[in-house]
Amino acid sequence: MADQETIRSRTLKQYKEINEQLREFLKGILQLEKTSLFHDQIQSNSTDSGGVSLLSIKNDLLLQYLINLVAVMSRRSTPNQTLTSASTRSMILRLCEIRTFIEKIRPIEQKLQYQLDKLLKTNVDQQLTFRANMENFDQDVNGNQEANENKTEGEEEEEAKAKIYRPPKLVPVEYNEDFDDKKEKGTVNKRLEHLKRRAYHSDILQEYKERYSDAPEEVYNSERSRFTQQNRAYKEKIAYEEEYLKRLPQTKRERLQLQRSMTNNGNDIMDHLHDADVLFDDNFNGGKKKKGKMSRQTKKKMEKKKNKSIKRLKSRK
Amino acid sequence: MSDSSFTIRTRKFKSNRLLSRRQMVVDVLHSDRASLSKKDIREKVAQLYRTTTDLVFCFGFNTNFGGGKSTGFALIYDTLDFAKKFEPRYRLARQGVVEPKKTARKQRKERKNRMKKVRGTKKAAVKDAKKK
Repeated sequence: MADQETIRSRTLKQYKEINEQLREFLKGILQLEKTSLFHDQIQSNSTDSGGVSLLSIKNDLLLQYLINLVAVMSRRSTPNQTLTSASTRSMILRLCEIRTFIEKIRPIEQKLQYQLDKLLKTNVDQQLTFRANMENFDQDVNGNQEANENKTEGEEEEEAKAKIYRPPKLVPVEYNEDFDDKKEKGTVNKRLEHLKRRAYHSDILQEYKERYSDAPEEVYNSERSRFTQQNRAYKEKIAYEEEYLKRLPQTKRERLQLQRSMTNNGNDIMDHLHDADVLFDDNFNGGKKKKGKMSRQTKKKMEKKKNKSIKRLKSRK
Repeated sequence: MSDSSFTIRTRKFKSNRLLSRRQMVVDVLHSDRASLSKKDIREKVAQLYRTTTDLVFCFGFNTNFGGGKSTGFALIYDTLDFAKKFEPRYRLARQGVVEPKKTARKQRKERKNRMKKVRGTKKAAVKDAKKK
């Protein structure tokens, strides 16, 4: 019981102290207001056309928010004040309004973020780039002036003769540490990346996706399938050939397409089992042949080389 | 060999007066035989259009997948002079109207390259000279 009383007395004392301080603060502000300097400062602040107007709006809004918030807090802290009076309700409404405005500004600010960052960056750097102008220094000293003039003339002549290219002296830029992870490791294996990208859309992974996702299943109409496109292309080619009475040669692409269409691309799962292996293997070799299995062409080449070397040996002997 | 016949249908017939010929797309249906030679097709087309076989030039025949049908082109010239004027050399050579070049392609190219090294009337000397 005694503790509670001491706590009470202590809080009362603190309360009184804070009250006194606030009163003094208010007095000081009122005095300041009366002086003309304050007015000038306010007016100068309100007429700055150089900044980003969005930011000044944001500043005003935040200030208003704080003011309203402090007013609500004061209402709450005074005893025997009803919180449902009209004035407090209006204050709380205003708070909500200001809050919504601030939240609306946020995406706009995000879009402007790049510009703001650039502004900040350049302002920081300019301090470092402000240097003394060396040319102005020379003109002050009398004795050195003529010598320097001659020198500059001579230099200019030399330059005119040799026409040396002097690059423009630009503002130095900050060094950024961020760089691509890929390029740090070494060369980017393009083929591997391509295969990985294809594996993401393979049938197996799509099945998993369908099973565990909540999204509704999308069924596409099969009119624009590859088959119909190929058909249409083929018909166009034939039409051209018959119109102009000449046969068009078969490009490599067409030949490969024909081959692919002839092989059985069945939709068996057995054919597509190993499509997504790229993503899970660490040492993926790209589905290349095993060691020891040479294609017919390479076998032929090797035989040729062998025969040549044998011939050469024989002829030397 | 069976004596099965074949049918010829012509499509997209056009009379090309600028080149003084008639041109068409030829469909050959040969269900029992292998694909036909150009000679047979020429004969049939000449029969159909009441001309002589030497005025008919056939080319570009492709057999459809599975066999049985081939598609190609045929041109029928008014006279042999017009044919010699307008037809490309290789097609005339195929029919025997014009003799193909006797010299080999490689020899021709080598000769040309030899002539490149020499200027003026000396080219004639190089023309007949043989490679060392």
